[in-house]
Amino acid sequence: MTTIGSICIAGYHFGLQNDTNLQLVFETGFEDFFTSVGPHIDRQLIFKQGFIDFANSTSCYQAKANKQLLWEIRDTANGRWFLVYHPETGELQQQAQYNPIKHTWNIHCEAQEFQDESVLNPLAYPMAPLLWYVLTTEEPLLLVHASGLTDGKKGRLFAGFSGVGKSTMAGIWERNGAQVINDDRLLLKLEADGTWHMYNTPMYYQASPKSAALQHIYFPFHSPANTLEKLSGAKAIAQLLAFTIHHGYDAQHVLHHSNIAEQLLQTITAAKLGVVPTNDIIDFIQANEQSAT
Amino acid sequence: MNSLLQSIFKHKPSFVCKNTGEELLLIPLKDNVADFNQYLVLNELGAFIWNLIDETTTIASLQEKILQEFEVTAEQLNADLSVFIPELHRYTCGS
Repeated sequence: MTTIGSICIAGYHFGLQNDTNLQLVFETGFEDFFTSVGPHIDRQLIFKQGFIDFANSTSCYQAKANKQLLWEIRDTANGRWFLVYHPETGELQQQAQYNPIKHTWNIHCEAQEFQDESVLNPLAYPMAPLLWYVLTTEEPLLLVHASGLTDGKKGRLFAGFSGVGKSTMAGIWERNGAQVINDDRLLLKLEADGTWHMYNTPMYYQASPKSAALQHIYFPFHSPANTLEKLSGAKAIAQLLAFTIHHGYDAQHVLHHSNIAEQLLQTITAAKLGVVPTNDIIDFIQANEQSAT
Repeated sequence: MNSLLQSIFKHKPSFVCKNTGEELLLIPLKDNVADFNQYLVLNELGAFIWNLIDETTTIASLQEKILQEFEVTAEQLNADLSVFIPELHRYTCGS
């Protein structure tokens, strides 16, 4: 058994423990997230070779994307297991069990050939996002579909489904000097000092870890004119949660995320934003923020 | 109306309720997935009614408790309930 380091996601350290004799490989996006093993590990990941036979178990929850099964939950005599599938072929890719008391994951997968060598790729998509998701069910975190960026003074989040202009907004701000934290998936975290920060997570492409303080959340939509409608109360909570990544296999998780969203919206403003995708949207947003202070 | 209340009661476990102070956010769980796009926000009176509905609730018992807690006439309350309960039934039970 070898401890090979850790991955740091939004300040949480995932210890990596190899319980096999095989080399481990990880997707490109992990490269800059590796750290040496520090004094504190928040979640331990233990990698094992080979699958367990769950032939007699039944699926009690299935997570799908475009009808493709990504992962499912099976409650067995040996506890709750996550079965994770290849997003294109549908083949079983990982079997994972989480111990919420010890904060430990056991992740099983089969060896595969990589550069003439037998290796394990234990966090291949969608295993890693599942780890981040389960983390959000226990910590003051939300995993959101959004573009997040900072202009050095303020951090802003643009949340919405594909096609509403998240990446367009990120591009406009980036061309005007802002730094994009990520334009698809972000973790929002309540820090110990009471501030909220947004963090990127490993993607399928190489990107270094980035974070920024968060001040404003916008829900953009295409519009013939730039418009802004402030949101508050239950509607703001529901609007934010509509763009969080969530799975309702446990109602307590839904309630937890609702509580976190409520807490976030006590200090972060939220508004629906009608957008004409030109540079004018930057002045429009800044003017509205200034008039609100 | 009493049958509508019983039907609403049977569907209550299909919702996650988030109290935000003066409002109650109802989040439906469909096929074990929380649908935040189909949420319902109840005001103080709506939340009071939602919390009262159990297997023994009748329109008469509902009216009695509301009249004890809120400043509203019996006539106005009857009129409001005759609209609200069927609407809440349509939302919770889908019919």
